[in-house]
Amino acid sequence: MRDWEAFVRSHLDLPGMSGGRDRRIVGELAAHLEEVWEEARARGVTDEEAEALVLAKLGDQRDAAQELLRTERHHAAAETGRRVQRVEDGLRDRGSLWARLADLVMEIRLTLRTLARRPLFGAVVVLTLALGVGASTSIFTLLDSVVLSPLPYRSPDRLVSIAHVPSADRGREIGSRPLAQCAAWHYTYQEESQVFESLAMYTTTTVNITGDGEPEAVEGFAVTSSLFPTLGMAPVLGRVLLPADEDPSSERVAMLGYGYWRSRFGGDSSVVGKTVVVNGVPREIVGVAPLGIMALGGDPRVVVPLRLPRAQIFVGNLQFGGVARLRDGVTTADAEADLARMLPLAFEKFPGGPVFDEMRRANWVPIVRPLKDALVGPVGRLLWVLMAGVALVLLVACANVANLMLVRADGRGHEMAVRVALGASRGRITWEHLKESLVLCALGCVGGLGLAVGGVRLLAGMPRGRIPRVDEVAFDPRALVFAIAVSLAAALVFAAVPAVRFWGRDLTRSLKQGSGAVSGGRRRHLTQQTLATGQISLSVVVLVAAGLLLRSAWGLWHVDPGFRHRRDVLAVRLTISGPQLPQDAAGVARLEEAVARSLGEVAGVRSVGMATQLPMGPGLTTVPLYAEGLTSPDAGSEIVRRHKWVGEGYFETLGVPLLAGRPLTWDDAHNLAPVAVVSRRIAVSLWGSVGAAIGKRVAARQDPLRWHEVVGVVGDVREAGLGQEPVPVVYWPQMALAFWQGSAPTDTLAWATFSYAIRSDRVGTPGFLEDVKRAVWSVSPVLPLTWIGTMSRFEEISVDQTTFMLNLLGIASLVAVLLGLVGVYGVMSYTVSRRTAEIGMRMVLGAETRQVRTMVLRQCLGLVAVGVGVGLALSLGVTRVLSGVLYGVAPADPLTFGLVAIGLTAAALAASYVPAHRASRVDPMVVLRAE
Amino acid sequence: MFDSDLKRGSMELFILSALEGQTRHGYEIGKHIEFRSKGQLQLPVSTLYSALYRMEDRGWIKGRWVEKHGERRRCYYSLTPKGEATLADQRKEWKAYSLVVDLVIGVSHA
Repeated sequence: MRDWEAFVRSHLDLPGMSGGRDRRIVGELAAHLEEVWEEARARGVTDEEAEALVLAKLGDQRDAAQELLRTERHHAAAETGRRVQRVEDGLRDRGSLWARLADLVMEIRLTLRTLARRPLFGAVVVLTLALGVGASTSIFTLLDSVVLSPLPYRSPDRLVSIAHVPSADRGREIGSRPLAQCAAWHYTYQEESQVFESLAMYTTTTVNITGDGEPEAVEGFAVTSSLFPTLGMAPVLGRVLLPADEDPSSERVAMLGYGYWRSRFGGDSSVVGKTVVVNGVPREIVGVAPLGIMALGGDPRVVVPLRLPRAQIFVGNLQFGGVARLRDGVTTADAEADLARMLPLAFEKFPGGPVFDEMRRANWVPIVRPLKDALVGPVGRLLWVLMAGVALVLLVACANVANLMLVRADGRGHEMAVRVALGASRGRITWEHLKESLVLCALGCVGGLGLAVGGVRLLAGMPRGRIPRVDEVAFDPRALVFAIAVSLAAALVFAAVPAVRFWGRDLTRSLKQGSGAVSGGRRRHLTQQTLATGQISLSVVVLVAAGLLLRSAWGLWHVDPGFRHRRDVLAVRLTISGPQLPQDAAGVARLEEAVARSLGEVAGVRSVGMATQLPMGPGLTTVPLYAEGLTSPDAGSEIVRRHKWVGEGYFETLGVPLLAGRPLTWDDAHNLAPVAVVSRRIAVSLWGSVGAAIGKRVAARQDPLRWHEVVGVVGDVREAGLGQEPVPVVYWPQMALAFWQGSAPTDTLAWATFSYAIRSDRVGTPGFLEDVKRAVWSVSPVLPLTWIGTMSRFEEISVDQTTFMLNLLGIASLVAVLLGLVGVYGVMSYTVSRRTAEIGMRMVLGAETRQVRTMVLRQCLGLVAVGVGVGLALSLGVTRVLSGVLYGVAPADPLTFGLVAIGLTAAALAASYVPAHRASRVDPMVVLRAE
Repeated sequence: MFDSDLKRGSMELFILSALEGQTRHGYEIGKHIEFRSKGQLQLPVSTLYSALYRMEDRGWIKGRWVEKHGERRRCYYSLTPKGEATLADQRKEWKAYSLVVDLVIGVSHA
C-alpha cells in the first residue's frame, strides 16, 4: 500500500502552514493522486506509465506549491477577518457601549485595510516612528535609571555624602571629586553629631581570595557596620555586619557580594557559615550583600568590616567615603554647619599622627551633598544632553512623517470633499485623519518598544565603570508610559496638521473648482517648506553638539599623558598578603624585586617597572611634602601631592622623560638610601627650575630624622586622567626608613601592593599572559594577580564617558541629518512638480537647462539658509549647557559652527540636485500641449 | 489547449456547475469537468484545490469529511445557498458576455 501522503510531501514544498491545514491539503491531494493511479492501473497501464500520469496531474511542482501557498495566505487573512467579525458581532450583542467598541474595532480593521493598499507609505512611517520612539525610549530609560530614579535605599532623599576640602581649594575639585573622609572625623561626628540619624564610612580595596582554584585578586569593600542601617539595606542571605565585627579582637567575618555569590558559589543558599580565605586569613561568611551596595560605586566581591583600633586613628588618610542619614527636618546646610562645628573637635579627640600639624594648617571644610548627586556626578548632565539630542532627532523624524501625512491627506482630498458634501462634520473629517494617524503611531510604538528593549539591554551591558548605577538600568513601566505618551503626542500632531488645513476651506466649493483647489497646493507647499526648514534647524543643533564633543574627544585623545609607552605596556597588580608570604618589610620588598626580575626574563619583554600605583590607575596617596630650608607657611598648603614608591626601571618602562639627574635603582631600595625623584611641577614650584631641584632635600614628615636628597627630576604625568591637569608627584624608593611622622628610627616602610608595568611587543598576542603568570608563580605560586590591561586602556577609561556620549550623539546627529535631507529632497521634488508649467514656459522662451537647474538650486539654498541660520542661533543658546563637559573647545566655537553650516548646506544642495536635474529635463512641448 | 488565464477565470463557474444538485469530492469534480469538456479541460490538482479552498472561504461551497468503510477518508463538497445564487448569477453573466464577445469578434452561430 503506497504512502501517497509521503509522495505529496516529497514533491511539494509547503513551508509555514499550520498543522491542521497542512494535513487537509496533503490528505486531499494524496487521495486525488491515489485515484488517478488506481484508475490508470485499472486501465492496464504499467506502473511507470501510471506514475507519469500522476506526475502530469501534479503539474510543475514549484508552480503548484506556490499556488497552494498563495491560496493559503488568502485563507489565513480571510480566517482572521472572520474571527474579528465574530468578535465584533459578539460585542454588539452585549449592549451599546460594547457596540461602540465593536465599531471601533471595525474602524481599525478598515483603516489597516486602507493602509495595506499603500504598503510603502505605511512601512516608511512606521519605521521612522519606530526608530524615533525606540531611540528616545532607550535613552529615557538610561536617564530614568541613573538620574531620575531614587537610589535603591530606604528614604534615599535623606541620605547625604560627606567629604572635605581644604578651604583654599573650596569650589575646585581635585582629581574627580573632593577628598573624602577620614576615620578620625567619622568617629568624631558619630559621637558628637546632633543632626544625623546615623553615619557610615567605606572604602574600596583589593583583596586576595585563595582556597579552591586559582588565587584571585578581587575588588572588595571595607565598611563600618553602620553602613547597612544607614542606607537601610537588608541582606539577601544571612545577616549584615554588626558593631561587634569591628572589634579587632573578634573573629574575622565577611559578607559576599551578590554577583560573586552567584558566580563563584553558585548562589548556594547554605553558604552562610562557610569559610572564605581573604588575604590569607580565613573568614566566616555571615551573609550576602544586596545588589544595591553597588550604587556606591564598583562591584565588590566581598564586604569586610573596618577594624580600626582607636589608638591608631589619626586625623589624615582621607581614603574613605562618608555617608550619613539626616534626621527629619534637617537640611544639608544645617548638616554642613554642624560638621564645621565638630571638625576641630577631632584634633582634640585624636591628637598626634604623621600629618597632624599639616591637617590643622590646611583649614579643612566639610561638604555635604545629596548622596545621589555625589554618586552620579557630572554623568547626569551628560545624560540630559544626550536625551535632548535624541528628542531633537525624534522631532526631525516627526517632521518627516508629518510631511508624508500631508501628501497622503492631499491624496484623500477629493474623498474628504465628497464626505463633506454628503454631510460629514469637521469633527468626522478630523476623526478620519486621526484614525489613520493613531493606527500608524500604535504600530510605530510597538516597533519602537521592541527596539527600545534591545537598546536598553545593550546599554545595561556596558562596563560598570562607564556610567554609575548601570546595573540598575532595566526596561520598566515608566519607559512603557514614556513610549506610549510620545506615540500618542505624535499621532495627535500628525492628525492635526492636515485636519487644520482642511478646516479653513470651503471644501464643496473647492470640489466644483477641481482637484487642484481641493488639494490646496500652495498652502501645502508652505507647510512642507516650514517643516523642512525646521528639520534642517534641528539637525544643525544636534550636529553642532556632536561636533563640539568630537573636538573635545579629539583634544583629549591627543593630549600628552606624560608617558610615551602605552599599547605595548601591560599593567598587572599583585598584593603580598597571606601566611605563606613574607610578613616583614625586607622580605616583602625582596619578593617584589624577585617578581620584577622574573618578569624581565619572559621572552620578548624589554623592560619592567613597578610602582605602588600606575598613571590613571586606582588609588591616591596624599601626604604633605616638606622641603629643607623652605619654612613659608604656604609650603605645606599644596596638600594634594601624589606619592609613589617605585622600583628600578619604572620611568624607562613607561617612557616618562628624565629631565635631570638619575632615576631610582634597586640599590637605593636595598641600601634604604635617603633619596627621591620629583616631578617637574614640584621642582619649579619649590625651587624655581628643574636643575635647581637636584641636590635639594625633602621629607614627608615635619621633623624628619632623615632628609631625602632629590637625585632626579622627571616630566609631569596626567595621573588623574587625560582630561585633568598633571598632578605633582614625589617618587620614593621601594623601601624607606622612618618615613612617617612618629615612626621609630628603625621602622622600615614597604608596601604590600604593587603594580607592575611590563613593556613588550608581545602584549596582546596569544600566550603572553600565560608566560607572565608563569613568571610570577615561579617566584611564589600563591600570589594572585589582577589583570588590569594595557596603559592605553587606562587612557580610554579616563575619557570613557566623553567617548560614550560622542558615540551616541554622533549616531543621533547622523540620523537627524539623513532625515533632514530626505525632507529637503521631498520639498524640492514637490516644488519642481508644481512649477512644471512655469519651467516649460521659461524653456520655450529661451531658458537653458543650466539656468533652470540653477533656479531650483537657488530656491533650495534659500530654504536651507533659513534653516541653518535658525539652527545656528538655537545652537548658541543650547551649547552653553555643554560647557562643563567640553575640553579644549568653547561652546560657541566658530570652526565647529562654520563647518556644520557649510557641510549641511552642501549636503542639502546635493539632495536637491536630483529634482533640479529633473526640472531641467522638462519637455517644453509636452507642457505646452497640456496647457 | 486553452490559455491558462482563460481557464483560471472560468474555474469557479466550472466547479459550481459540477456541484449543482450533487455532492462530490475533488477527484470527482475534476473528472466531471474533464468528461463534460470531452477531455479538453484537464486541471492540475493545485489549480483545482486552490479554487476549491478559495470558494470555501467565500462561503460558496462547503466541505465535509466522510469516511466510508474500506475507503480512504475524503472531503465531499456541496453548494451552499450563497453558492447556488452565485452559480445562477455567473451563468447569466457568462451567457450575456459570450453573446457580446461573439458580436464584437464576428462569430455567428448556425
